[in-house]
Amino acid sequence: MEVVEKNEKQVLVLSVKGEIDLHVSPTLRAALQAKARAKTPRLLLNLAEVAYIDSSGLATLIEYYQSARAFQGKFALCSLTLSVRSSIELVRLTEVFSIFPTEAAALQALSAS
Amino acid sequence: MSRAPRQINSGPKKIFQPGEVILEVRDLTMVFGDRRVLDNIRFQVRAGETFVIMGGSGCGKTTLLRCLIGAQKPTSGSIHLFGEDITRMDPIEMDRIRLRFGMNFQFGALFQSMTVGENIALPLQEHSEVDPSLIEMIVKMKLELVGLTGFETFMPSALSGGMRKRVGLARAMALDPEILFSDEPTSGLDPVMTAVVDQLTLDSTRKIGATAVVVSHDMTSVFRIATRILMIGNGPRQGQVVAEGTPEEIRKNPDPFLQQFVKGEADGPIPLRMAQDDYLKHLLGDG
Repeated sequence: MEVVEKNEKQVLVLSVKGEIDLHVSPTLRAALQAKARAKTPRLLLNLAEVAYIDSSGLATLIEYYQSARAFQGKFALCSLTLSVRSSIELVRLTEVFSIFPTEAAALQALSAS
Repeated sequence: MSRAPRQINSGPKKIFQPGEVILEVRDLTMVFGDRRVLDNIRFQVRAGETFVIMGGSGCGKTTLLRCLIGAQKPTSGSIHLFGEDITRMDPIEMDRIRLRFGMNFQFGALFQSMTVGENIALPLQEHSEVDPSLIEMIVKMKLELVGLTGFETFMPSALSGGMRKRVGLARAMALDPEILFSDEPTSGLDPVMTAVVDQLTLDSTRKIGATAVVVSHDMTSVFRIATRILMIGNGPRQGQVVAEGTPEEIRKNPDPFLQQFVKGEADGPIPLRMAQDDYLKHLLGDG
């Protein structure tokens, strides 16, 4: 798994590439925990190149969502593949996360907030 | 209680694309004493399928399932799971393969001394380094999938048989397996919960891309979930493949043995009772 970081319109964008499973979710978790410690005000996770996410990956996203909520940080996901969207829907997390179809749409919403 | 994770490296592993053969059984025969329980079974399962094995009581379908998960060595033949022949594997190699599939046992097979949550968490504690706080969330998500949100702290003894089955299913899915093997996953469940379990199987295969191998004789459920069906015979066709095909092909197959089973008819070629002469010989000890 690769995580590429960039700043765009006052939003920190993490673009993730690869499968997020038991073996790699600790790496994603470490990256997100660092952002939580830094109280990143606006974080966008671009999952366009994530073909699969397992339960440990979903739990990692929930954990960051909870951390961000505590310091009133904004957090969103964008560009979900069908498999990732289905995994999120299956455990009824679509109401929890802010999900956008494209990075541009997410950036617009997050930078306006 | 904290537990050191027993890490088994499952990689490098081949990722199976939908349609690729993920499980292949070649000429599998199982003999107990002088009884041939499985007779030259052959089939393939492709990634993303819901493959249902059905057959009457005693036809050997549970024995076949035990062979598929490496719990029983067949008398002859081979089983290629994820492209590797598991019939030749030692227990350590088999542990590596076991991380990639889940087994949903007929009666749940829960640890009675552990809570529901602890039962579901166990595979994650044993085989991963996932943080306990994340495991707690995963347990909640798995319980939600099987309609048991809030039951984490219950002991198995406080649950009904159907609820225990669903906890067993949640535990089988704890590691998000590439293949989920299920033994009679809907027997004893009410119609609504049967539909929930069926939908979960369909979502896992159609949406997430997992593969399901299900042993069942619940015809409503079989025709709702199966992409392909394998029928194993009993009596004179004990342990043999009677038919294999899509649900539509199975419905149209004129084999009287198959049709009696699918339609659940008492009369037909499936032998429930001995022929009169044989019975009397057996009873009276003649011949």
